[in-house]
Amino acid sequence: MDLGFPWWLRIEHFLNIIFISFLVRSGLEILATYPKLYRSQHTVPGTSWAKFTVQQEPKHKYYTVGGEDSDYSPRISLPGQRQLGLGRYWHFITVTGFITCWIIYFILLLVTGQWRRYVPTSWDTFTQAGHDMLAYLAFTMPHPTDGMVFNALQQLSYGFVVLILTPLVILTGAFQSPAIANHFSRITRLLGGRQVIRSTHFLCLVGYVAFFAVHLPLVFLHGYLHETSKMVLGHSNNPVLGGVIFTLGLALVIALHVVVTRWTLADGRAVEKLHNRIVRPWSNLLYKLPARMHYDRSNITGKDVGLDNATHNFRGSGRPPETPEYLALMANCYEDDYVLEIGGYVEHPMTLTIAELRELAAGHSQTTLHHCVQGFSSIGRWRGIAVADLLDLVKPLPGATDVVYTSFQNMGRDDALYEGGTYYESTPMVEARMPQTLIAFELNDEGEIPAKNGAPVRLRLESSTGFRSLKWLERIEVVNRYDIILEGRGGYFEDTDFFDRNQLI
Amino acid sequence: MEDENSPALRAGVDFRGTPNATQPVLEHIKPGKKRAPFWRYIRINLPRTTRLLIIAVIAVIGGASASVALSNHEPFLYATHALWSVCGAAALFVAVGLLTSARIWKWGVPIALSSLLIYLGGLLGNAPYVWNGASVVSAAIWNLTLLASLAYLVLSWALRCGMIVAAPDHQHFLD
Repeated sequence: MDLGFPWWLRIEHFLNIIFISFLVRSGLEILATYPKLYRSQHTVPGTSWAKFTVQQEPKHKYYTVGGEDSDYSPRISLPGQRQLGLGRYWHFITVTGFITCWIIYFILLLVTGQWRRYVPTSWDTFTQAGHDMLAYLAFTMPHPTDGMVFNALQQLSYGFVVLILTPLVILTGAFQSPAIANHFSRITRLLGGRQVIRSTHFLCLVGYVAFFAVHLPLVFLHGYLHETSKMVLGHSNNPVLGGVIFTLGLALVIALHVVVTRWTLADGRAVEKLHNRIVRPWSNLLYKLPARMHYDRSNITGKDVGLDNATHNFRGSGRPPETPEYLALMANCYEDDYVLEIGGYVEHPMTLTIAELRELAAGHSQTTLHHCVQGFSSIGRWRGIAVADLLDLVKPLPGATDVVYTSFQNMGRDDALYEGGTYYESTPMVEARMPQTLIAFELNDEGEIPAKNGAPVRLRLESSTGFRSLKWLERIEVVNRYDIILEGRGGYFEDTDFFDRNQLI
Repeated sequence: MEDENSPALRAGVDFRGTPNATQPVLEHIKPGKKRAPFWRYIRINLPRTTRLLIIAVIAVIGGASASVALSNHEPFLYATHALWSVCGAAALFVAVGLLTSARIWKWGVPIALSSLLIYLGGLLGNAPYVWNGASVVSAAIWNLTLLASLAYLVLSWALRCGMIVAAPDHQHFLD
């Protein structure tokens, strides 16, 4: 068959220039927020295999993960300037288009027989690819294989990018979603764990960049006008016209990047609206995937956690409250003084001490992987009571839709990195009633939760990114709408920054 | 308790009395600039892999040089002697690199530069290119001496910048 360059392939090629360049730039923004890559699920400081920052953290003072981010230039990352939330929005908006495009492309390859352009049908292709490699190294141009539109080495390299690298980047991207990773936790472990997946996802980015670094010079060496004309017109009969149109297309892509970067930095809420329209329809489906993991506090290698991964290495991502009330609670070891209020839109509002919580929990614990939105992870065994059980006790009234959790923490007062406001979070009832949504009061069988990790009582939302697992919990309120609380976006970071309440990805 | 919470003290490094003891410090940013040069943001800590990579690149230079020397296409007068010298130095480099833990990567630079010089000499002479009558394989191997030499110089620059480290060195990340 004549493989040629069908119109849908040419459109896909152009769209992928946009998608992949947006994914790379927004991916770098996400990397910037925690620019360290690890092999172990426990991201113990100093053990990363790569760092992409010029910042040295304080050596003898406690620091939070919030301060570990790096300020990448908007010329490199999208949008740059420490805007993780907006970088995530663009990554997810683009990934929606990228995956849709890839699936359509994959189906079209299958039904039209065009898969032959990427899949070798004979072992000779590999031999020929070796000859082609030698030809390139000899500074000569290998010829296309008979019946093909490009040579065997091109066939294998394009096939690798389209049929191996792309599915791998999609898979490793999907398994960075806490909802997916923690629902299919066995697959997560099979893939090497959260940090190996994150590292592999980054290496896929390197793979794309390396591909472009080789692909672009070769386009010029094979003849820029000739090659680009094929990707525009489907043939090279009019190379000047095709080359000019392609060049204008590239200029358009660059202009798009400039406009989108500036627009994002100027009006993040507009980007948020766009994200909500494009991403929420599919990200809301992930509420059907409750977390169901149970780790053994070990690495995937099965080795005992040991000192390196003890509770003090469970990263802290916030600063404990500094009110006299909280300090008094801490001084008295919480046990006698702390009272958790549960009220709002319920039949039986109640207060519970830690002793009562412990009694109700009846020894229940879960050992789970914490997915920080920035990128770190830690495994912890949390003892506590499921929110669903507490809700059954207080009996929400008909029409109750959400549960709001309020912390002792006031961000502006307690953490110099952020501006004022009480820290709060809210969950839709479906998330509150997930089996591993927990009110925890003990970590790693070592007694009370340390102050940096949310003592005395905290929330664990295992299907969401970490910041929604509110620490230093003061009270729980069942409500029939959350959108009238403060800015109405459902949480502190949702209100003050650019994070969706749906943090399942 | 202090040593438990200080990665630096645990590693035997004491920053007390310096700004970095209690504050984050940004490195490599020149006065008046907001950010450091791009490559300063990259720090890879895979010492053994890097060491093997360095050895492999020098082995390619040595192997390719030997292959060119064995061919009947001498790039210029006495080039065979120079190629065998590079090959011998590369073999020594690879042996020392594999059998000891010596910091040898600086010694790879003269090997790479010598190989590069021979290639440049070939440009002025009768290098085994296809258009000079050499086979595709011979031309590919000849060009490999250029590409591997350039690759080694890039690796050497990355090592000097601290982007990568080779065993027995280590990045000593203290975060």
